[in-house]
Amino acid sequence: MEPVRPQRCIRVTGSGRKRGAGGGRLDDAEAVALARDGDLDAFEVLVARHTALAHRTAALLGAGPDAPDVVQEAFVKAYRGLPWFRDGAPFRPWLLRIVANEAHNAHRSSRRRSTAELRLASVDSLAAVAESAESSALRTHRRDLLLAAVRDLPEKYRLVVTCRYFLDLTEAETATVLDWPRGSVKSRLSRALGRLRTALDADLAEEVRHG
Amino acid sequence: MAEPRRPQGTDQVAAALRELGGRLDVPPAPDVRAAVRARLAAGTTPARVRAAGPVRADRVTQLAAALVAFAVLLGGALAFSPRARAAVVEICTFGAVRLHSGERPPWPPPPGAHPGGPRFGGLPPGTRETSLAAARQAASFPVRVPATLGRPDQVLIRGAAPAGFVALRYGPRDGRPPGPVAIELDEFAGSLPPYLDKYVHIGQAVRVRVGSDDGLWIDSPHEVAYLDPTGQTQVEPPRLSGRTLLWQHAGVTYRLEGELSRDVALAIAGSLQ
Repeated sequence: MEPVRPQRCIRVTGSGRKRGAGGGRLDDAEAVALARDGDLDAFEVLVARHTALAHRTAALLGAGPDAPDVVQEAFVKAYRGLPWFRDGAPFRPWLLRIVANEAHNAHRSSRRRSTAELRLASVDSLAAVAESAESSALRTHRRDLLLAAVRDLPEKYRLVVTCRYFLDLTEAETATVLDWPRGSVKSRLSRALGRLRTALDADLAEEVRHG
Repeated sequence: MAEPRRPQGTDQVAAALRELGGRLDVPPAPDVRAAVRARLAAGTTPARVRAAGPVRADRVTQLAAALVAFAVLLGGALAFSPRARAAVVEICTFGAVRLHSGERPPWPPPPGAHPGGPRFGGLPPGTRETSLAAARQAASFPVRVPATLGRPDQVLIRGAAPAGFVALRYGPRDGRPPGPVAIELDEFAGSLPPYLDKYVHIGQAVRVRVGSDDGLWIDSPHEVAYLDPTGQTQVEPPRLSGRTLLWQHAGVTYRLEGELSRDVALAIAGSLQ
């Protein structure tokens, strides 16, 4: 016969830095385990660690000026969803899936349909300075062209390109974030690259023709 | 000298994309830690009120007030008026499981409840006693019995055939928790709302597996709201201690309640036939 257990409290600890099993900082799995029990300090470790990529994801998936709100909302939902988080699963793609959903909702509700979120940074840093004038112009042209071609892709292709190349997610992570089977990630990416290649080749052919 | 002109292979496209990625204009990331923390610490529903140690009187009052409001919201009138049903659905969108802290749920006893036989607590509203065989006939789903517990001492059913709800009750016995109803297994045709899977607004819940099915182990009194096969939201109040194992299998939702440890509950659930 089980004795009645005392009520468990949320452990809202002080501001001391959390220590993981290795004596260093908490890894994601440790932080998740603590956060699931209500440890807000541990969850804050996850927030600090993953905000940058969450924000980049929100921005590139069309959240626009709502990106900071999307990130905040996603973290709140992630915390509340922790009971459903599978032990041992990687936290980051699971979080980014929530971000992607929130970004999609924000994008849809604001009625913005353009892909203006994909813009080149206007100031490139040292790389531009080191190049010669001629090859720099060529590279800039190619980049503009490639960016335009990406923006023209149908949405699914653009999403997979964004995840794989602009967010540097692995194929498995991309499948989680977009909630697609892995096979679809592979095939859509391959078709997207094919289209982009065709667009670039067409430009190349133009250049050759016009000398 | 210009680069050799040749069509770009997909490898080159991939490399160009990576390089492009590094040059995309993304504003600097915000620091959302304080904002997130404030929202999590504040909590927005009674489910997140926690007692540290013995429940203080003011907390109980606050909690009870919120719960009474909640109970009233979920009272009898709710099921029929569209606006009231919308209110239930709205609550459900926070998650179909509501947890409340405290040793006992401060619910008023269900209307029309009466002490049943000597060994059992009151019947929930709308249920009637029946036999296992009759329940199997009348239910809209196959009624399963946990082999580790054996035949139930009391079987309840709700609704005319095909009935959507069957409860199996087990009285006190050696090796079982005390109380007039030691263990209850509810089976209902319907699934937890899909959004339960994503954004469950719960405090004390642990995800578990029952065989190949997902479930939740909850150790505080709570309600379960679920969608019945007609798409209507139904709410089941807590009747026992609040220790509950909740899972779904083949379109049927199961709830096993009783002062059980998680491992014992999982063993019982695993023995369903």
